[in-house]
Amino acid sequence: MLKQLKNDFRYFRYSKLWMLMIVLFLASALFICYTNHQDARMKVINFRNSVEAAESAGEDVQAMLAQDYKILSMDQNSGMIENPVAFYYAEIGKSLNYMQPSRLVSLLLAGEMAFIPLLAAFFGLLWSAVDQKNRTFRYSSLRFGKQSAMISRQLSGYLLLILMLTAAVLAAYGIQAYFTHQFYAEYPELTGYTRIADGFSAAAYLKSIPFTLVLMLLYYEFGFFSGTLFKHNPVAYALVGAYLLFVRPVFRYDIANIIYNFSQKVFPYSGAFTMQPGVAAKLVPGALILAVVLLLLAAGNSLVTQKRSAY
Amino acid sequence: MIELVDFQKQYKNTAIYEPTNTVFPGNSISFLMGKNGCGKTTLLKCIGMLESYRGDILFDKKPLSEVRDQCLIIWDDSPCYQNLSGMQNLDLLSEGKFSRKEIRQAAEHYLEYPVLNRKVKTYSYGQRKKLMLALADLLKPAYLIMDEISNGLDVDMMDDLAEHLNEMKKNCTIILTGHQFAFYEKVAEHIFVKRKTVMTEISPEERAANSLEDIYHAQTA
Repeated sequence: MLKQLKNDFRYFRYSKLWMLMIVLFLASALFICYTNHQDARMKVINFRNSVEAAESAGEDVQAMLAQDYKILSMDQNSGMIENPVAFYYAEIGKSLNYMQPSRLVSLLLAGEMAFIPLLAAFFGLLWSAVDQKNRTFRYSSLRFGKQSAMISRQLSGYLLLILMLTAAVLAAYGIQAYFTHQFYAEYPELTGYTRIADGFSAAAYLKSIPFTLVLMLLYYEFGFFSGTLFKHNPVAYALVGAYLLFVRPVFRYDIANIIYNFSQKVFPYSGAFTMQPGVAAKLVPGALILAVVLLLLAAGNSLVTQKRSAY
Repeated sequence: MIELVDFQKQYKNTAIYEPTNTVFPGNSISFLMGKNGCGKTTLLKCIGMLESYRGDILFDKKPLSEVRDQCLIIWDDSPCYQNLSGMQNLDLLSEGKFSRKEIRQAAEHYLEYPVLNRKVKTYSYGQRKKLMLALADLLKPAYLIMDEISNGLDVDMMDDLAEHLNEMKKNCTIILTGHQFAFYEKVAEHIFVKRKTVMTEISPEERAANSLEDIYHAQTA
């Protein structure tokens, strides 16, 4: 198994597939950091506008800042706020909180919830099709056995995904540091802003990182199984893409809805990204359903590989 | 020695091989011939356990699982990673056991170095075959099986290959299948003919008295 794993990694290096995947992962990380940066800037602009409006109305801004604010109504596009000066000031505080490097992993992974299903499934499809497309499964099967070769390829792909995600997170530290620097350079008056404690603890990573890895595995297996079943047929890419991009959750224990529910528990969603609320679902049956789906996909890979004779 | 013990293969209700006991002797070259579609490649797939079958296939009395790393099957279509170079393919298919220098030394006997550094998708059919022969040279398997190996090879390379196979068989059990009898005449020692669902071994006397083509016509008529 170890020999075959090494060979799979070697193929990954030679094939330049890693370049494509790293570019996609980095692009998603860059997009998340940029969107959060823009969100923080927007809050400063809103604060300044609210201060200008208050001053032109002859109100005492310092007094308003000392008072509490009240959200009267709020939806995605508009809201009614009592004391917007204090509200936007507090919002800037939240932005400064999530721009701290220590928050980045959680912030990034929360945003990645939008990209990981697509990237993991896409990579699973590509990775499972390598030996089908080149008809080289006959070699690995002879040298290592059908099942062993297939399991190794599944495992190597997942390990590579973890490596790529880790690389993207590390690179995102650099990107985020740049954006934070830009932010303070643009708004030097915020350098002395006293951040409000929001109860965030690094222990949140104990939930968010394993959850992200499980989610990545689930969608990777989905892509891998589709690739194994349809070989390298473009239909597989179209079906998987259509499902992930266009099909919305249709019932309470739909996979996507279960993931919405878990995400709400796992991530603080303090940045520009929020997860659609979905329909409330209990987590224990949800976790069991995810585990069963994962097992079925793995068993499906094994069964198709075993039954198929035309390699 | 590769031994088929009560070997039987069928697709749904169609029998491809009736139960058979056959021995492909060690340190020699066996040649399996038969009409297109008679099941020669199917047997090779069974030997490599790519297809399910009944009975046993033993390699010097051991199952494939114990000798996997001593086996190599070179398929007619010589599958390779099309997006990689010849050198990279040899490195991958030999599982990184050899240095770049060793790979180059073995492969340059078959293909020039600039060709080895080109992507395999630019190779001709014959060049892909030569790449696989280089792989056999590198791995030095104890069990070497070649499906229609002479197809696509130029005359010089076929002469060279015949000589090479006669050298390799000293440490190897070799099974060949194919149709270019002029080539196989130079190497084949044990002849097997597949006709309908039966595989027959040709006796040494009959082999000595007849050409492969005559045997083929007599057996498959």
